[in-house]
Amino acid sequence: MNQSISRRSLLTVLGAVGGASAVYEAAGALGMVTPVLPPQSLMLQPANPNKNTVAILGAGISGLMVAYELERAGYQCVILEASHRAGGRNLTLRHNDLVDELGHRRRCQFSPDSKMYFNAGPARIPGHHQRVLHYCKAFQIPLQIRANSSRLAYVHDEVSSNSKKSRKVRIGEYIADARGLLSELAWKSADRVSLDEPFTEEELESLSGFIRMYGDLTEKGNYQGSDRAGSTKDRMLFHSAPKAPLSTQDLLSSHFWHYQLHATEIYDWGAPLMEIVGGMDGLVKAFMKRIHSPIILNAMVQDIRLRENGTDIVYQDQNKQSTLKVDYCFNSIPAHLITGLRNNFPRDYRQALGTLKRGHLFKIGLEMKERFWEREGIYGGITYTSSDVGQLWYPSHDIHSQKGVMLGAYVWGEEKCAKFERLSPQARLQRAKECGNAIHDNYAQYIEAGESVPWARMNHMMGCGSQMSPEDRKRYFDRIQQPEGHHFLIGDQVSYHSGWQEGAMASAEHALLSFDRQFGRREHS
Amino acid sequence: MNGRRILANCLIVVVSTLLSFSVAALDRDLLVCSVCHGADLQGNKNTEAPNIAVLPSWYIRQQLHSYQREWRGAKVKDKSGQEMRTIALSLTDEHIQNIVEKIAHLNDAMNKKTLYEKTIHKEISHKETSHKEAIDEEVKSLATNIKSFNEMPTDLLSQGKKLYQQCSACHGSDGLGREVVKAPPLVHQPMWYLKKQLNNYQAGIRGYHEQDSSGQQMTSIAQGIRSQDDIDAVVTFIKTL
Repeated sequence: MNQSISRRSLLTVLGAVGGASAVYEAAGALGMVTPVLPPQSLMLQPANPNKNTVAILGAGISGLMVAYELERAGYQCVILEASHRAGGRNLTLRHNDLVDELGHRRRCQFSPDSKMYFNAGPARIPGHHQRVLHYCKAFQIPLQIRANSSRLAYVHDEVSSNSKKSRKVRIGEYIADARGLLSELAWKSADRVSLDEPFTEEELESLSGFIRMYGDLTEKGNYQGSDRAGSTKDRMLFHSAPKAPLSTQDLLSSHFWHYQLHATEIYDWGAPLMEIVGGMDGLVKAFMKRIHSPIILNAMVQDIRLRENGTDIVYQDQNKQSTLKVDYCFNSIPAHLITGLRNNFPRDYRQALGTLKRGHLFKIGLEMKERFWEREGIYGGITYTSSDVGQLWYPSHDIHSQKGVMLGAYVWGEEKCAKFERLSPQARLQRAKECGNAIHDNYAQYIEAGESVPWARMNHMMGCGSQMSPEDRKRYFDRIQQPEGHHFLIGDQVSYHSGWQEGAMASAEHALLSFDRQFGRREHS
Repeated sequence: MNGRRILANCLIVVVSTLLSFSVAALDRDLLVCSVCHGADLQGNKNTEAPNIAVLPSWYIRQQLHSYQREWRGAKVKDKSGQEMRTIALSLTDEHIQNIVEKIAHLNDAMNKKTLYEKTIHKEISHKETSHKEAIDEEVKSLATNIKSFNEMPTDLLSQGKKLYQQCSACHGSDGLGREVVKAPPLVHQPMWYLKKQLNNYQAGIRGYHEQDSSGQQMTSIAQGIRSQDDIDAVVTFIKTL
């Protein structure tokens, strides 16, 4: 590599030519990708026996992790949970489970079959979420690969600009044609663009080779379709015969082109991902098995009083009001609900809490009486659609069994979620059927039961993936990350990764380590 | 769970002996309201929930019925109204009667407690926000040019006073509302809420139904307020009542 061209500028060139994946590949080769840290154990100092009581507000992932770690260090914890169950947004729905949506309280209609479950919250774990994986490993929770992408799943556009008709194309076909188009453009411009001198002849040849291979171009730099997208004839018995490429207009008019095509390039969504065997709530169950502290369910916190040497928590359990007087408090209540509680927080702390806004996320799980997608060659992965349901996820576990639960909608953002949030559960299913029918033949007829979970409407949560504007983040994030007296705010809301369990655990870890530094018993003190 | 409970008892102390200044226990039927409207039902800006603890029974009943009848919360643009409408639709008349009675009861209890609170004010943490500070926070939350309540330009307040004259015909010069003309109290509502509702009336997403006579009346009044500055002026003035 010549001295005068920086690695960064090379990446810019590659990015223009090859898209994000080319950049990632090259960055890896140049040794610039962040290393994945090995899982760590938190080694907290033993508790001071005279000052060791802790209230943990919320039994979601961050609260459970804090309880587990503090208990091991000798603290006496009490966990208050407002809802009827532990786990927070780590929710796996099965037969007859309570779906506690405000205004639409109901029971899950899935059949009583242990394989019929739906991960309504977290559903996938990448290999670099080291904190989540640390606990999975320590608790011996079985994991399996979850196929997050399948080239045989579809890209579906409700209306393509040319035909005014909906269009469904296999993802592999789309990717091959999109890369072909980009590579052709890059090939053609390579002649005209005089790259800076620092590239040697050899290097330019190497770059051309990359472009050709990236798009599967002919020797002359043309794209004429690729058998990467399959063949119109049986590839085992005949020479493969690629389909004609999609037209440039078709490619450009798709919603997939500029957004979802790149979804699996996102660091958290890069293959392979994992899931917990039997449902993601395996993590919650494993924590619950190991935590001995009392977990009081249906306990709604009403008042948080900071004292000089501790915290008082007033909560209500049915008609009974009680107070916890503790030395320390770890609070994972969503900040947008904390602002409705009584408290004596200092003004700037309260202001900082007020900048965390509700996020919206919506999912529908569908129990299908047949795994019809497997007949289309789809074993896991995601179909992307421009219609209201956004994505269809196919299960990659229990392949070839009779039935399966697939995700019939995955939507986030206030506007898109509102289309479902305002509907009754039945009307949401109806909408999911209409959208699905446009993608798979007889889709609606396979549905035996369906459950929708609008997180912004779920009791005691009222949101998922909390939002903070960039300005507020700059100004207030440090404030909420730091404790206020003996009160520590935790949860995915106190991370740069809200909506992920790893964010929740990172925040819990950060709080525990700063707690330990500040209040841990020093050996010689 | 038994072992867990026993440990819990070591740490839990009954509230009445310890935190008498804190919020009263809520009736079971009101707990669901408190998720969004806050532990003492006095509102939460982050869930866009107004203060319902201070609302008179007739108004709560009227509004819940409005939600049920598509007079309120049925427009796509009224997002928080839609959220409330979902809840209202899940309530029976019996529920509503229950809620109305319990809030009225809570209201009485709160008035007594406020008096009590004043007498023990010095025992409450020094970090309690004063009333003035609270108004100041509200003023800032309107995102206007006004920097603080104390530095409020006098012409703005006098403009607010002028505009309030037509409001006072129904809501009263004290802003406490009048049942006879179906006008709710305004003084206890946060400014962001008053502003939002005026905007909703103007945008035709509240008070739009022809049978909702008090809503329709309010719509025509709101449409008479010409600018956002005027809205800020009048809601700020309401805080001085």
